[in-house]
Amino acid sequence: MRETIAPTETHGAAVLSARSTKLPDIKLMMWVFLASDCMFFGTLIGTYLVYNGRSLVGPGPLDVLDIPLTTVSTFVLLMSSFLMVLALHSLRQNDISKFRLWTFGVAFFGAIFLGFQIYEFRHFIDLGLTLQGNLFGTTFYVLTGTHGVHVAIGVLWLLSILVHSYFHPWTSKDDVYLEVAGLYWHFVDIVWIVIFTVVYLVEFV
Amino acid sequence: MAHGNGKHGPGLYIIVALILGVITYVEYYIVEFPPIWMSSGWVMFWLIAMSLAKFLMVIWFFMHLRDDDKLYTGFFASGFVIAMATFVALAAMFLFPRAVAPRVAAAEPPAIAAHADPDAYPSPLDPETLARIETDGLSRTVVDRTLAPRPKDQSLRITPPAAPADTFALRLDDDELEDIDLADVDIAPDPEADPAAAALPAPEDPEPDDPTLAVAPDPTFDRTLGAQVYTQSCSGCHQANGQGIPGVFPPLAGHALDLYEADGGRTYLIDVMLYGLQGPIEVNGQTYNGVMPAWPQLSDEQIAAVVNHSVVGFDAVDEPDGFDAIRPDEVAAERGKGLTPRDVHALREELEPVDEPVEEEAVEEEAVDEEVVEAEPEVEAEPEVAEPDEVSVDEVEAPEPDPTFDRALGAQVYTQNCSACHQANGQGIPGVFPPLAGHALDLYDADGGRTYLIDVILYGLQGPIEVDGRTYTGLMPAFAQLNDEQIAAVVNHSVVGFDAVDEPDDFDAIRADEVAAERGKGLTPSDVHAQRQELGLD
Ligand code: HEC
Ligand code: HEC
Repeated sequence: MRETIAPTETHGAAVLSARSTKLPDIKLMMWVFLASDCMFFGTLIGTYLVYNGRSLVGPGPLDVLDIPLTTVSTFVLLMSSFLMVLALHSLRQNDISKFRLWTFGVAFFGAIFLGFQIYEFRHFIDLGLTLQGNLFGTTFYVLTGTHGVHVAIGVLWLLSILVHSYFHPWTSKDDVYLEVAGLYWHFVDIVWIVIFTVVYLVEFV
Repeated sequence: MAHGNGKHGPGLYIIVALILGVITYVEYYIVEFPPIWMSSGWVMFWLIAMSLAKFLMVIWFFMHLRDDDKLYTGFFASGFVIAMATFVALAAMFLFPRAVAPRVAAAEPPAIAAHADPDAYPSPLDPETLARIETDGLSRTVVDRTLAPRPKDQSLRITPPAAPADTFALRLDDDELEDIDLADVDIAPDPEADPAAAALPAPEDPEPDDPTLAVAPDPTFDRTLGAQVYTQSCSGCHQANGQGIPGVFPPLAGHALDLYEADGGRTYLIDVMLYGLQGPIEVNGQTYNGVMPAWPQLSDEQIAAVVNHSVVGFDAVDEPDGFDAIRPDEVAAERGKGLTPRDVHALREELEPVDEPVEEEAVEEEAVDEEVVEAEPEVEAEPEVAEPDEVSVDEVEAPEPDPTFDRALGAQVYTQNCSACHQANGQGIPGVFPPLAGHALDLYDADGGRTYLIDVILYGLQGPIEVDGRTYTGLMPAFAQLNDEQIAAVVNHSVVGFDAVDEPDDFDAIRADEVAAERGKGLTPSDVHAQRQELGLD
């Protein structure tokens, strides 16, 4: 799939389909995947809300959630999204060292976010919130845990791009591969934007 | 250009990132320090608006939808629309019916329904109230919260007298509560407040023959609002029809009318709403010594409406002809007095005729389920058995059985996890939650009772049981998340820790390793019920 089929007026895309859309398959596929992931998270968030406030026993959200801490981790994730666009921009400018730097930055910030989440989960378990303890625990861990798995996959993906770039020098022609990873990363970020509001902030209003 | 997004310099991205960061900070700020002038509904609205803005900015600028092929937008949008549709359908099925028409929701399948099958046994609580009792103490649904803000002192927890206020730092403490009161007064004086009314003389004497009152008693008030606020904020404790729970939450149906008619009763009722109430009171011969939370966060209109509803709104109460509804400006005039719940209790002592048993009985018979009336002696019986000061670690010196356990831990775990249902002193609620004081000791004494008690806590209990001649068919939740020490301590507390229970000399405390041995058996609540059948009780 790496050979260019034909030069067209599209810029920078190394891989083009010969189909009428003239859009890179891989990118189209990513958007379709994101649409389906959107439904997936929509259902998880909906389930969370439906069971919100119906736990028979504690601890409840107010007992465990920590807004300042989560605001910081939310900020970290937002900034990783910012580094992601910088990485793509640098690659398109053929500025490979910056591209590597920013890509590493994204993975690094993603890892920090995961660190926050692991800390948070461990702390919650100490406070008695478990996956099977009450409805809040079940829905909370399933929702935020699924999101965390998405972040972890994103971090691995970006790291593998980084490693790959040393063995097979990337140029601006390869931008679609980074762009697709970026789409995934931004999507994970917007899911968190929603979770942060729905699960954390709104609880304290 | 199809996706020529290389054209934007990083400048745009920096601006977007900055805005995203600022919005996140603002979100944090209005949640941690909610502006006094903004109702929780509006805070909610802005939070949602802001996260939507962030969402759109990321997909628009960072994901380049803004200048990429529209096909991508189409794909994503359709996924998003389907997600939202699922979401709205879920909300319509489960969330909104509960807030808007609680009775409908009570018929829905969620686990709570299992607790209260009104046909299976006569319960003083209807399913909806029961659902509230069980859930309100922990948190409330988004819709509940938007319509009626959380009382700032978290006293919706159901066992106010014993509630551990210090457990978690995130809650507002009393100081903050006071801040809110003051701010309420300073920043938002009701512009509508009738200065004349505010200047009314001492509230204690609205003489019946006072011309202003006698001339125009106005019985109108917002009845829908009153009923709504009542359902949301009061029915969890005082019950849907104001019948209360004998010995725990005083009845309001009929009784609030007596209060209203007493000298100074009008203002007293408002003060109870604004400042709460704490101290022993007697209603219909029954003593109550709980804490009634304050509701300063309700608006003047809401307080007036809910007080009027409590006075004349229940089906069982006949609205007297001369009823003069409490007006919002009267509520406004009571704000800012900075009373404590104890002060309000003192006010109550000064009310003239609080109880008029003759009239009371007629109303009560209609309002209160007969079961409850029957239940009263049972609740009262407990203290008679009481011989406090009996339980002491040092006094017991049996050589073999070891009665020591972590009593403080047991009491603490009990208060946090069990008292909402089994009540602070283990007296239970007849017909709904079985008593533990005394009864748990019987279970402990039964053959196999030790393990049974551990299993109930680890795996829960479901199925009809009989305690002291009364049937219980609820669901006891499992508490497997507690650790072995906690479970051992709380079981021991349930068996011998209540004041009303004499600790037997040969009491052999349950140990943590016994709990550990029971783990991993994978029992269901029904299995535990089967186990109970074999105990050979009575
Ligand atoms: C957390 C449970 C709880 C909630 C919620 C609650 N109350 Fe109370 N209420 C109590 C308790 C307990 C008492 C008795 C206090 C005492 O013993 O001093 C009480 C007392 C009262 C009294 C005074 C009765 C008397 O004889 O003086 C009134 C009036 C009252 N409540 C009305 C309301 C209204 C109206 C609401 C809703 C806005 C409400 N309560 C919400 C628990 C509650
Ligand atoms: C949600 C309300 C609720 C909570 C919280 C709760 N219980 Fe129960 N408990 C019940 C109900 C209802 C039953 C009766 C179950 C039945 O009818 O089968 C019960 C039964 C029991 C029994 C068995 C009584 C018997 O006769 O067999 C014990 C023991 C018990 N609970 C102890 C506890 C302890 C200890 C805690 C705290 C760790 C606790 N419960 C928390 C509702 C509750």
